[in-house]
Amino acid sequence: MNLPSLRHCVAARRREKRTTKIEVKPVLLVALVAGVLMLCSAFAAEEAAPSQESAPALFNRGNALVREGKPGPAILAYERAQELAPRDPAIAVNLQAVRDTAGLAAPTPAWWQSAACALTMNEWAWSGSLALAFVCGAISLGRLLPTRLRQPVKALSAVCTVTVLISASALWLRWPELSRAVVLNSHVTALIAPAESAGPVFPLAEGEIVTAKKELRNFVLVCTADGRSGWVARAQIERVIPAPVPNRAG
Amino acid sequence: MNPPTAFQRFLLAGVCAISVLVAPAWSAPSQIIAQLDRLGLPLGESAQLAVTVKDSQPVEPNVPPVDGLEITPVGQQSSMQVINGAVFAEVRYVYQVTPNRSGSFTIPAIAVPGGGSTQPIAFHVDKIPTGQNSRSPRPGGSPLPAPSGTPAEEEAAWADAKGQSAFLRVVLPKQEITVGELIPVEIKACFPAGVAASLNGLPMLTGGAFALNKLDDNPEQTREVIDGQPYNVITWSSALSAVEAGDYPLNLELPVMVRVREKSKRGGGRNSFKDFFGDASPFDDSVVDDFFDQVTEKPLALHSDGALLRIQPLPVQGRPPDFSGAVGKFDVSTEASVIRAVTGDPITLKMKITGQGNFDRVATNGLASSAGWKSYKPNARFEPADREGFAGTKTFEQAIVPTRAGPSEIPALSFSYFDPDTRSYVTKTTSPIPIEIVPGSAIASALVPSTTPAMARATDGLVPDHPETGRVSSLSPVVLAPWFLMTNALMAAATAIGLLVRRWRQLRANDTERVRAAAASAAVREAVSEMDESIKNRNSVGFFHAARRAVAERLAERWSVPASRVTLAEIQARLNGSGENICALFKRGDEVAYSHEEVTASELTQWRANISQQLAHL
Repeated sequence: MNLPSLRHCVAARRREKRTTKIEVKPVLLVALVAGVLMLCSAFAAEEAAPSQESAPALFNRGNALVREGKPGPAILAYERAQELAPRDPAIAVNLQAVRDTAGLAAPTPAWWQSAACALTMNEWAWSGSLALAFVCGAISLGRLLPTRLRQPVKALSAVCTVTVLISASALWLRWPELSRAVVLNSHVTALIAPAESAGPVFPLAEGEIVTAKKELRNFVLVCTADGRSGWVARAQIERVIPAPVPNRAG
Repeated sequence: MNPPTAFQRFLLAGVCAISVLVAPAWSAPSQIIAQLDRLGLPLGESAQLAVTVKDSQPVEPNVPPVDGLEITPVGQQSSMQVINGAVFAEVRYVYQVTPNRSGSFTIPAIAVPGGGSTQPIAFHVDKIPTGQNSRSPRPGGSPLPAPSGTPAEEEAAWADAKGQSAFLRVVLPKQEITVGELIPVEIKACFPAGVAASLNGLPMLTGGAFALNKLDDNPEQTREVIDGQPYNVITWSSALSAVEAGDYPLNLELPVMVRVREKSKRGGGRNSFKDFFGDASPFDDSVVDDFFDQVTEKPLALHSDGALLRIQPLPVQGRPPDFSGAVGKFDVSTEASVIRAVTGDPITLKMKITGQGNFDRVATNGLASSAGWKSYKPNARFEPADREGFAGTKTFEQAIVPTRAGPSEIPALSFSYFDPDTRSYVTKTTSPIPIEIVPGSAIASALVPSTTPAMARATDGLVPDHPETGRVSSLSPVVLAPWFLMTNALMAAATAIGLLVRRWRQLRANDTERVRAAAASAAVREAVSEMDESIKNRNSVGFFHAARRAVAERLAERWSVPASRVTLAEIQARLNGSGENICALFKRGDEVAYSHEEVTASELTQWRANISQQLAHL
């Protein structure tokens, strides 16, 4: 038996084995069950998640707080409402109005950050996740497809791969937003160290947006938009996203 | 048997329904509970016996007389409940139990006619402790109560020269009050001038029928002349309320620390200086005696005279549905934050209740939601006008949202209270507040600048509240959820592992040496199998043909040549005389093939073992 005939023989036997072992229907069934389980766990986790809010309720709360003369908590409420409904113009208008009244400048993001803000973090996450699922499915089950469908699926997989990369990049760019916090009280002073007796560094305005870098006991290391850092008491600021946020680096 | 007619079924259903409604009243016997507020008391004091009778028609219990006890009814309190159509009444009969002697007593079971009975109650009455005075008024009917709680000797020791002692006095504006009514009260602790005493606490109630508002830690201190004698008076101003109907003594107690001067032994015996110097002794002086006296501090308690107060219950008849327990005199007014508003924009409605009384029971539900108004729960704030919290203003702020445009008015609000002077319920109603409600878009066009999105804004520059609360969702993005991260990581990892496995298989498939070895092994296995089959069939030709093929496949793999090139000449040339067994096999095979010789089974088996050995060596 010569070598080409041997190869042909072995390849034919392998094809025969594959077609006999892998059945299309069970694979699709397993994929369907996995997808359903994923959706169920997503809904269950959504229901059980803490800090459940609605954007209109937060918006109305912000209005009430503005009328009570509490711009800091009002800005926090508007920021949270904007996290849930970023395309609601009423929230942006009132947030700008209360910032104007309090003499606070609105944060001006760079162009790449604005591009990353085209979708919400959840939208980026879901689009990236679905694109990843398509790519994985195409890689795993592509050989089971008819030959005429393989080329379109390959093209679509390439598009999905690009989508995954773009989504990951957008999430990476917007990750610092998860550490944003709002100064709740007036006359807040950032300290040089996390201690009551530490010397003051700079004052913070009520309603100012800061980035929480690190927490130590009852103090939080914050960084302002102009790059200044100092420690403030935990009770004087509140994160826009209440959940603890891991560092982007890891 | 004929089926029941419609009338019979209706009659049966009616009987069943009436039975269900009436059965609880018939089946439930009268419940009676007796409680004594204290199971041990000193002689001279009274205990309170409360007998509660629960029944549809309660009757007064028969309290049997007890030797050595005076059991006097002081009042009763009734309440009524309707549950599932059954009426349950509860009457609480209150008795004052005053022992005439010390010892152990047992109040026997108290029964109601046709009902149950209570458990006997045993309690003990102690003798008056040494040094404790009875709280009964002093003989002679002096208007000033005795300094109760002071030992007789010490009383004499720290009373001043004229026999006056410290006492506690409670000044009330009236002796008859209503349950829940708040009345101003002054508590005066009077100490004779010159007596050294300090407070060891604040005055406190010793009975359960009254409640006293918080007392000031810094009471007012004055000097007064009472019955011609100077007193240092400490006055607390507060408010008192009654919690139970009936006749109850108002007992207060004030712990004090008194500095008592104890006579020295020298003072107790004869004055030796006086003995020595006679009546003209220069040491016959109280100053000299005081010098040798010892001063010690004694904790004592001053008690009030226990004046009996009559507490009237709140009448049940005529009680307004919105009555919240407020007793006093109040005025009500309302005001709105704006007179022109936008639909959907909240308005603050303030309801002010001003007056005197128990403001802690002043409550209102405010404006109820209706077709034109959506209302929220009001918040209350109290601003007292005096130190006692007896007078002041309670303000209820309520957010209301107009839902319909057009000329309108905020409806009138009402507030009900009980006036203890007229002993009647009073309901005061405010006037409706006219207000103009305009649609949200009407104001929007005038207020919204051209640079901002076209959106309705209220007068404060804010876009009005959203009428709907919307879908609730988590603030935390899904990318932080562990399940999301885990799912995506598993998906990516599984795909990566699958790609690696596929690549490894491709590499193995492209390895020609491995493929050739596998093919040769398969061919050898197939030939050996044919050999075994030939032995079984006694097919000598087939056996040797298969044996030659097996050896040739193995040698071809070893020499990397096609199996067709493995001939006897090639074997002899390559093995160079070392493959005698293989050569013998090939020769024997040729002989059998050409001669068609029948080889015995034993020989074939021997060749089979020999070939297996050779294949293993190759």
